[in-house]
Amino acid sequence: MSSLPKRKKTNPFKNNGYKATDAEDSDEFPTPPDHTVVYNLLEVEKPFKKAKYKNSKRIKPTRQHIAAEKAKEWPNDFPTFWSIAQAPSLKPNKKYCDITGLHAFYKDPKTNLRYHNAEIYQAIQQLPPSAEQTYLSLRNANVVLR
Amino acid sequence: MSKTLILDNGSFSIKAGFVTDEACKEFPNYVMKTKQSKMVYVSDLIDKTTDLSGLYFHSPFENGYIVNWDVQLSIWDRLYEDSALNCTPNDTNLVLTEPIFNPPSIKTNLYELIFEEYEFPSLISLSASEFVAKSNYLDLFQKERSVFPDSMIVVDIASIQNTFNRIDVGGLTLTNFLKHIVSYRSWDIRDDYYIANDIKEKCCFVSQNFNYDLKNFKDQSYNNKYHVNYVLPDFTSSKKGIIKISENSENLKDNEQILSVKNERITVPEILFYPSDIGINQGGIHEAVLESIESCPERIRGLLANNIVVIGGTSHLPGLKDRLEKELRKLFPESFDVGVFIAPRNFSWQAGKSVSLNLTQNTDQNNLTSFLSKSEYQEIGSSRTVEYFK
Repeated sequence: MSSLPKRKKTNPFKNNGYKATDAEDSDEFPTPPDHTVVYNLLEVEKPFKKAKYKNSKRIKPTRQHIAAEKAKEWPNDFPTFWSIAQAPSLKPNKKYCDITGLHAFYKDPKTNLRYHNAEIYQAIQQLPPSAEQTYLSLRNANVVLR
Repeated sequence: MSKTLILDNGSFSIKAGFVTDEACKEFPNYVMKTKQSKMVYVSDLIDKTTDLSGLYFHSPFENGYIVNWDVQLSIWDRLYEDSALNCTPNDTNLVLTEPIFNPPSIKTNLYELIFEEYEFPSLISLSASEFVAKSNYLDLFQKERSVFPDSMIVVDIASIQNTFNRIDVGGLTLTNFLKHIVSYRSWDIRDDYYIANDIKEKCCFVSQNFNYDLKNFKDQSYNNKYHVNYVLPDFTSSKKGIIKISENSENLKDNEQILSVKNERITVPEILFYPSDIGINQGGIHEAVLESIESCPERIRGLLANNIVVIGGTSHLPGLKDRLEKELRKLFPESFDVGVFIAPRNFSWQAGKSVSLNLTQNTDQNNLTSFLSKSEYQEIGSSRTVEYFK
């Protein structure tokens, strides 16, 4: 009987749907690899890879399907996925304060921030420089330099 | 006579059943993997486990189109088993719904699978709304309203093709939005799509007067009847959460985890009418209906406005019918009558059934579609089959 503490089994490939084989379930240590032999890695059996595993190339996102359709020529009045998209609303979008989320009645011409009232305008004026860009980025209105 | 299977392949659940059946069975259209035990459950087999927290969902659908065929195949395989539908594809005719504007590249894959992998002898494949328009189930609404029978018209979809409108808001968008705001405000349910969907179905409703209702939600006291308590499932004694009205908050047990659902109840369905609230730069469903009807000839617009049928799972949100009528009333001329009808559950399945019954009994006068047999398919091939169902 060995006095060694029982080795905790760790399975680094558990997330890949890997199932432990019977041999590994036993408490024996695996035999260490023989470092004197030069292996051809292509021929070495890789137990963590499923032999039947096949990377399915069938998954093609909808985006690609539609882009492929778009490349074809279509008659002008023929309905297609992209031509039937609903137009923007006739009513103007509601505008909300960038700081508080309340209804925005005003817009600061300097920073382009929308704000609710004078109190919040005070806060905007005390903002450190370029901090307004983080607020603007919340509604994708920030200036991106490329 | 060989059997006929009607398969309404929705992105959330599959509604399937034979022509001879009274009602259909529902199967989730997902392959799910549990977080703790790492087991994979296909479709309705998920009922066999209680390990439902943090499920990983694999859906064959993306934006309403089938893209992940491996997942779809494993779900269909499960459907045809003895314990589910007991269907042998070799001697069963198939009536299948497919998404509207399905791209040909997806369609050819679909027909190949149906005829070559499963070997169904014949097939009809149309979009759910086309089935509804072609079925004689529309009479159902006429009886409800007791008006002159000739005010009901069925417009041949093929003849007025450029009247479609699409909004990028669906049931999944609403569930995801609810998931976000609930996770931000109280419990983290980002991993629990299953629960978020259940909350949406049980708690949300469409407000008739949004700004007025929003004020009612502001009262944070326990007696506010607008707030509901959703008791989160613990996955040992209960699989699905239950609703407790706020007034009985003293009756709540200690070991129950409560999610208080407040103005999420109305703000989530409001996206249907104002998608711009979550950054989708499109008009709401009422504007989509208006645009569709305005692109039709002028003399039938009044009739169309009186006969709007809403189908799909999201249409069962309480109050949608009244709100849609109210919004459309503002947009249409005074002389028009506005009538909105919410189709009953599994309506497109029933419509598919009625279409296939009509075909076999030859009662339909203006027969626009027919079954495509396997031998015909082998003659014309998958790419020309796309043109067959039009």
